[in-house]
Amino acid sequence: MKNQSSNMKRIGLGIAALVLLGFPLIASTRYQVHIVNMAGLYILMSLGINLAMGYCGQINLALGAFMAMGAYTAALLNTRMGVPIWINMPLGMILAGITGALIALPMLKVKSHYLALVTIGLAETINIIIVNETWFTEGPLGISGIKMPELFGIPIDGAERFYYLVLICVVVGYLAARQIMNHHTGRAFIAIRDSDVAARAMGINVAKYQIMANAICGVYCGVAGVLYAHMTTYISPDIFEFKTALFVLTMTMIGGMGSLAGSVVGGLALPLTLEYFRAFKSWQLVGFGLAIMLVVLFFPGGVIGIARRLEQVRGLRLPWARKPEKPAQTEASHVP
Amino acid sequence: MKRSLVFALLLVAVLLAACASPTAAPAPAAPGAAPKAVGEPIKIAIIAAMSGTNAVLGDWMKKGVTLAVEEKNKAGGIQGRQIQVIVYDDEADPTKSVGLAQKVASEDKVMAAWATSNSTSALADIPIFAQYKIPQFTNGTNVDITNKGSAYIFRATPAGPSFEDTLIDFLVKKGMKKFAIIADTSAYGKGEGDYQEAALKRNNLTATTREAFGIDDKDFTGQLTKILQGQPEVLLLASSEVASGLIAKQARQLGFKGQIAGGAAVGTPKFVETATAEIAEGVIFTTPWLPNDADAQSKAFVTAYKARWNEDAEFHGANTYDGTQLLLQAMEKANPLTPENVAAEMHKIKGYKGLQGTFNVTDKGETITGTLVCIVKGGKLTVYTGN
Amino acid sequence: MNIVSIFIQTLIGGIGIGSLYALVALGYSMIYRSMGLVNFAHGQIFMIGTYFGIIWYRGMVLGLQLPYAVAFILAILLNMVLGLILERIFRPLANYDLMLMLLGTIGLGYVLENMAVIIWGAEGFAVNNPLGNTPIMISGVAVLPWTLLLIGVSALLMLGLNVFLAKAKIGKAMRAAAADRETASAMGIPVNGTNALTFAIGAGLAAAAGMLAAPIVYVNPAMGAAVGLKGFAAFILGGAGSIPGAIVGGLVFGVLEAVSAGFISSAYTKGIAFVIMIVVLMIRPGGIIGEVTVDKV
Repeated sequence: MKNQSSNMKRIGLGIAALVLLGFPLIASTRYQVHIVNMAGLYILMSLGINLAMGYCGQINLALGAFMAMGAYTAALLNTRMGVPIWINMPLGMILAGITGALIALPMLKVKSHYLALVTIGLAETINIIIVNETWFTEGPLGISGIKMPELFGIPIDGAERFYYLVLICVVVGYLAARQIMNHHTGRAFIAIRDSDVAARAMGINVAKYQIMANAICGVYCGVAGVLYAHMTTYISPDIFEFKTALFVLTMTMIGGMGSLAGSVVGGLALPLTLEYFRAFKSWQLVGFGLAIMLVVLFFPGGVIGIARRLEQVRGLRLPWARKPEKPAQTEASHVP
Repeated sequence: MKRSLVFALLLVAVLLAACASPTAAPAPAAPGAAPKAVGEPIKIAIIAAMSGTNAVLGDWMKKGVTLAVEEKNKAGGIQGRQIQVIVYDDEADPTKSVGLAQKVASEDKVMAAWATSNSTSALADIPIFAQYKIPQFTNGTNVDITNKGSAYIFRATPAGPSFEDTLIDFLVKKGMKKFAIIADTSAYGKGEGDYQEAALKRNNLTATTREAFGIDDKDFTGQLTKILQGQPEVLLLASSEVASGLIAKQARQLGFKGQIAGGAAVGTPKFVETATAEIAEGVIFTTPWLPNDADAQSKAFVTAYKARWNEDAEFHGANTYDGTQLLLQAMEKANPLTPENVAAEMHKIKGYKGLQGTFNVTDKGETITGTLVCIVKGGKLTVYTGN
Repeated sequence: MNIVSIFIQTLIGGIGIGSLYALVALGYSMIYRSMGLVNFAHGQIFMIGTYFGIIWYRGMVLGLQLPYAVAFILAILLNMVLGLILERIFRPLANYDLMLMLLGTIGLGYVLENMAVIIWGAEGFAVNNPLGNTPIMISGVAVLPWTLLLIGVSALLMLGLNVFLAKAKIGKAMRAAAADRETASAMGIPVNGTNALTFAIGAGLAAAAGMLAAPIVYVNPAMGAAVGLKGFAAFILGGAGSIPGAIVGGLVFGVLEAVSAGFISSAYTKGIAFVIMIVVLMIRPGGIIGEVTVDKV
């Protein structure tokens, strides 16, 4: 029995790996590859926020600012000094990680929706600095002419080749996140999410882990930013506005907050679904909004939550027949 | 955990497999079929903001381009083929714009694209259209657009400095010395503000004050009060139609008696509507084209525009119409009809007389220079003819 | 103009826009007090409320061109009905996880904004000022009659709301339900009903703010987002759930913006406002008047 299921798993993984590796060959146009590449970047950011928010319970709406740190590091170094992506990547990760850690500092004092506003405010402030300090960042017009990467003389220029770079980053990012969650760090995150008072009583250094969770979130978004800059070869401050953070949060929620697989599912499902319904114009976004409301009201665990439920309860119970359980509590109390 | 991993990976597989076929579904031709059969339409894409604050720019673009294309189709199309316009909404978001540029280039396989009316999105799209060798048209006015070394970008209207230079030279000649600038922090506003400053510098002047504001701002009392302390003779606006209108209104209400002036955005009915006719009265602006231009071509355009869209033509509709005329000409001449040849033919256009004046396409992709000094009179945009 | 009148001039601009923020923040506060729900679609409710009134004023319905005051009242009533419907939808979300509230209400925001685009178009329009554009001059300081009306009506609405909550029977019931749901329920107060009414009042205040703003701003479906964010900032700054807090927060935020634009750096206006706000929250993590502790888990 056990053997069989592990065989099944191997076959499943094999098929998935084949599809993932062969995707640029199956795709009929470069645009489809581009959309999946973008989805890959969203998955990275979603993994980051899932660690900070889904597992550690830290609300954070400054994702766009983290991404901007990565993207601007890469863009400035590349256009001014010709630094390649391979060096920009670690630098962007470090800078975005530091930004994440800094944004975590107010979290030690401010909670819940107060915290939501503080993170929005910090992200907006970073954006305003980018817009105004034209001498350094080129201002609202943005930076163009970023070079696509090259590896051993092979240019990674079309979306198809870039896809493999994104794929590697996503796979590494996913495995790293899993490692973190299997490590005692991950258990500390969950303890803090469930109750920071109890975690403290257990001897966990809450502040340290909260800062760490947000720094990790920053690193993930930084990777996405560096990739974005080198992929589209152009960045401007409006790319990293609040709406980007909202989009990533939405896909994480739809996939399943507090589940790494949820990030993957949400990160793929949302951009692709929106793409399918593009022809409906404004109705597309009305549908998008309604879908979010439905997920929140009836399936708060997201797609992964539904899947788990179906597994647990083979008899199909209608979701609205149950009392909604509380998933991924972001804050134990509203007021400190 | 492990189970959900399998589940997720299977989902990945399903989604990817599904993704490989769908979006191009409407495309009828099988790969082997002759794509150039007579009667198969030539596609032109419009990528622009059709929703959000910038929706009005996208709407004007759609109207100008569609009008020119429909007229051509009625006259028999290009080489016997009809032209089809496909419209996409990029919400003025460069990320979305880049995706759509990939889409129209690789899926719709368009002959040319309008992308976009926002300078940032236009800049974001340049590398993609250059890579696919597809001519890209814009009516964004930022100078940088044509400085990126692409042979496939064309600006269907004069660049920003062309507007601001004419404006400031005129005002300086009238004896004005004290200028204040209020510019928003978007690419357009900041660019126009910089061109205004540069033009002042050329005239050995500096602005008394330059103030900034965010594109979402509605109250400008702080900025304007500060500006008025410098007692400027001229208030230069560098922002969108709506924000310019609100600023003009609030400046007058705060007691500003001097001249209000601005570039392309000020020369639109939307500005007059927002500021109200009473307050817009006497505002000076520069534009290459006015709805009440006397020549026959303009009159025909204004009539056709009104008949088609049931609204008055304005500058953006005119410049996208002009640009599309250039494109149609280049398509007529391109042989065989490929995007690359169209771009090459575009560069050869010299001396075409359009609504905005005479077009001479340069290597960089500029098509026209020169603007007229105009004034708002009785709520109407009119050419300035002296006092 | 001397420095004092310059300052007063700037201050009046800030108070004007701050009153709007305050009305929007009150909506957030009312809904938060009763349901523990942070409604991120409030900016869009503000926008819909504006359209609900302006369509009558501009003759967009059956060509009826009603006076502004009638349109104002219609806007409030229609938006209250919308509020009642929305409360019913979001009832399960009350006192739920913040993240879910955030997303659920943002989803609603998408729906409202894009429905507005579908119904009324994305382009929008300017609304002419019923009181004219000529300012009144008071010793060198220019004030638009509409600004005075805006400040006056906002003040009246805020005062009225306070009296209503303190004196009226149903207002007291609302306060009781907000303070302790179970006890109020046990005492025979129809908690769901009072919550619905609270939500409706919040939506009505948003419509009032929209109608007061319409002649001095530009009406389009995208107008809600920016006001919603600033209203939210005001609501948090004052102290979530506090009625005087929302008013103070709104006025402080409006004045902060105007003063930093006029006296510090206009390019950094928004940044300065946010940084000051963050500093305030670091010192007082419960907001300026954070006396209401709603702990509903």
